[in-house]
Order: sequence, then structure tokens, then C-alpha cells
Amino acid sequence: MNRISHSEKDTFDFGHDFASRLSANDFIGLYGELGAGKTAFTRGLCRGLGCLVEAHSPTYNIVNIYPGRIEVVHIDLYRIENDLDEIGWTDLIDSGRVVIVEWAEKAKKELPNKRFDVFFAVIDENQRQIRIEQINDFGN
Amino acid sequence: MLILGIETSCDETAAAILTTPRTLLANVVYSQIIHQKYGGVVPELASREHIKRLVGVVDESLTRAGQQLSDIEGIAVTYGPGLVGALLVGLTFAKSLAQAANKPFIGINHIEGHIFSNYLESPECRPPFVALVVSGGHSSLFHVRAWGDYRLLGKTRDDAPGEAFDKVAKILGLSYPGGPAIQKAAENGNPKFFRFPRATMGKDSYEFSFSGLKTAVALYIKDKAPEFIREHLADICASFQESVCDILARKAIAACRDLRLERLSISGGVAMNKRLREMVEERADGIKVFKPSPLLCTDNAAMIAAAGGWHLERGERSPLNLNAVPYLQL
Repeated sequence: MNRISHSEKDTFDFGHDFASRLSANDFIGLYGELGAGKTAFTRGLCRGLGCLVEAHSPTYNIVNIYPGRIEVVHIDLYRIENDLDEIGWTDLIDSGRVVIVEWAEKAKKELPNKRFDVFFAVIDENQRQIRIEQINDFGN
Repeated sequence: MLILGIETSCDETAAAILTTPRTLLANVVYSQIIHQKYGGVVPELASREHIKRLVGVVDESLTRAGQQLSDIEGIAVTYGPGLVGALLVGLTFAKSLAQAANKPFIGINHIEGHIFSNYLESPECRPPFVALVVSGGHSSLFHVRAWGDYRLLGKTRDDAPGEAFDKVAKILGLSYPGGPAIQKAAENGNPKFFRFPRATMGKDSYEFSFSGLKTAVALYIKDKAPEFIREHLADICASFQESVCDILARKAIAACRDLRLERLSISGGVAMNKRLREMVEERADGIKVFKPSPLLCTDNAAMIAAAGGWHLERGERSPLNLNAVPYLQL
């Protein structure tokens, strides 16, 4: 799935629409530089999932947990890399929640085999390219 | 009334002893340094650190105040908003202590605590007034009609200003936490070097948005040569800081004018920012501005004890089944 977003609201709406494809235990990895729209997409996604609070950037807290119909874990791995255990990674991603991870590439081998990867690229001041890939690796 | 205040909502383990209304006998804050290398607060580590430090911090506050636990007449603790695990450490400790020692107990909203930091230092900061609470995790503007009676005028739609400072520090390769790092780098910089956008969110809105500003900084430096960024680091930081402070000061002063209030309280970690303090004063024009001293801007238990003392003296109590509320609103 590939889409060009023309505004922050577009990015939000894309996330909101994408939520209908998700259920508990789904894992979504987000990839893209600062300001590319990862958090805006997540806000839309969480709204679509029926979270009771507005999603916000986990830059400060690293792990945010939003209550709602399905609980959502929102993680920022920007500076975590080799310390996944310290943030309780195993418990967080295997918990019956929807898991959204910014800078998911930092998790390397710890990424679940079955997941969605969402790539954000900055085209110009307002436009972003957003691409969603479904990964289904059955251990081969 | 002799109050023990406890605060563990984020990465500060804190306890304070206070005689109501505002005589502070001890104010102990242990800032967890373990988070530094992650450039953010790691919730799991914060909880573990609180468990390790809290008893020592409470003991230290009693010692410094020259008081015994048996002298304490009320216990106040933050029960939200904050990190659920971190909150639970302080809350469970406070509830256990209250039950075991048979003391009156009350849970306090952390944001109300921040507003009370000015109550603590400035008896003249009397309601009604406008309160701007700005920190790493919060950014809200309130109409304080009376102590205990707050009307939310507006808050941030996305990042808190402290987060914006952290992110821009990250973009520019500065250290964590971003607020002090940018303030330092901005010294001697030209705040008019580049005009970053000010998200006003509509003419009469008291809402804030800082996410677009962060993106604007990222886009601005994207096509600049590293030498240019190095050479103009102070200017870029000063220009960014100017934009954040301009938005905050503008909305806070506008709220005072619209509501015809003559007093403005600013508090929270970002209230330490020198440029913000300066700018609010510059624009005050007759409005009296209250700003806590730096130790009471960042998270502390003195403000929790002050708010707790106020509520306890009115006979209010919290039940011992009070739970932590991570997204507690004021």
C-alpha cells in the first residue's frame, strides 16, 4: 500500500483508515526521519482503534500505553538499540495489545516475523510518501 | 498541620516536609541519572529506581526537617498523571504508610501540584489568576477561579514544549535533556536569525502545537551544510527557543487580557527557561507574573505537600483504594 500525504491531516487519516485492518497482538514498525509523520500517523491509528486518550510522541517517556477498546503500546526506540530488555521489550510486545514502534529498525533481530512495516519519506515541506508492507515470514 | 509530600510520577524520586500553609522544612529530590544515556525516561527503569530510592529519600526529608514520622499529620502523594509504574511506587508507599501509621491521606494531581509551587513561594499569588503549566510532558493553560477550582483553557494538541526542546536538541546533536542544552547553546545567538513558524491554532484559541515547529527545524537544517549549522548553532537554537517562548508567552498574556485577570502564574520545568521568564515579564504590562525558583519548577514533592496540605486542611481525604491514573486530567 502506497500513498502520498499532502498534509499532517492526510497522514492522520491514513493512520485512521489503516486501523480497521488491525487487531490485538498486531505489531507495526514505523520507519522515517524526525518530522516525517510517524507520530501523526500513530495519532490517527490510535483514534481509529478507539483509544481513550490522544496518542502523543513517546520521545520523552519512550513507552506510552493508551487505554481503550484494545490497549495500545507506543514505543520510541531512537536511543535504545542494545537495551531492549531494559524497557521490558518481551513483555511489551507479547501482551494482547497493538504494538506501534517508532525507529523499529533499532530492534533488529528482535522484530517479530509477522508484522506491518510503515515507511515515511519526506518529499517536501508538506508532502510525505507513506508505504505499508505486510511481512509474513514463517521462519524460512 | 505537618505534611509529608511524595512525588514519583516520572524520573524524580522526591519527598518534602511542610507546615501548612507554606513553611517548607525539607525538600529532597533525587533525579534519576540512569535515563541519561537513553535520551528519554525509560518507564521500567524509572519504577525500579523509585523502589530503590524512595525510602531513603523520605528518611532524608524527615532528618533534614528534624521531624519524626510520628509527628506527621497528613500524607500527600501524586496519583497522576505520569508513568503508571512510577506513580504506583509512590502511591503504594504512601497508602501503606498512611494505613500503618494511621495518618490522613490524600492523592494529588501532579498538574495541580505545579500550580501550587507558586502558592508555596508567593502568598500574593491569589486566585483568580491564569496558570501556564509547561514541562517535559505537559503544556496547559488554566483559569484558576479559586484554589481547587480550575478551568482548562487549552493544552497542547501534540508535543509538550519540553518534548519539542528534546527533539530539536536531538536533531541538532545536542545533549539530553534538550531544554537546558538549547538554552545554553542559544546564549549569544541571534533570536531573529530565522523565523520559525508559530502555530497559533486560530485567533482565539488557547491550544498549543509544537510538532510542526520541530518539523520546521528538521526541514530547515536538512539542506544546510554541516559547517553552516556548526557556525550558526547558537542562532538556530536562539531562533527556535524564541518561537517556543513567543507562543507560550503570547497565549498566557492573551488569556489574562481576555479574562481580565491581573495575575499570571507560570510553572513546570520549562518555566525555568530564562528567555520565557524574560519574555513574559516584557509583555506583562501591568500583569503580575509569578515564577517559582528553579528547584520548584522541576518535579518536586514540596508542591505536592503544599497542595495536599490545602486539601487536607479542608477535611478532604482519599480512600485507601485510590489507584494511579496515568492520564489524569485537571
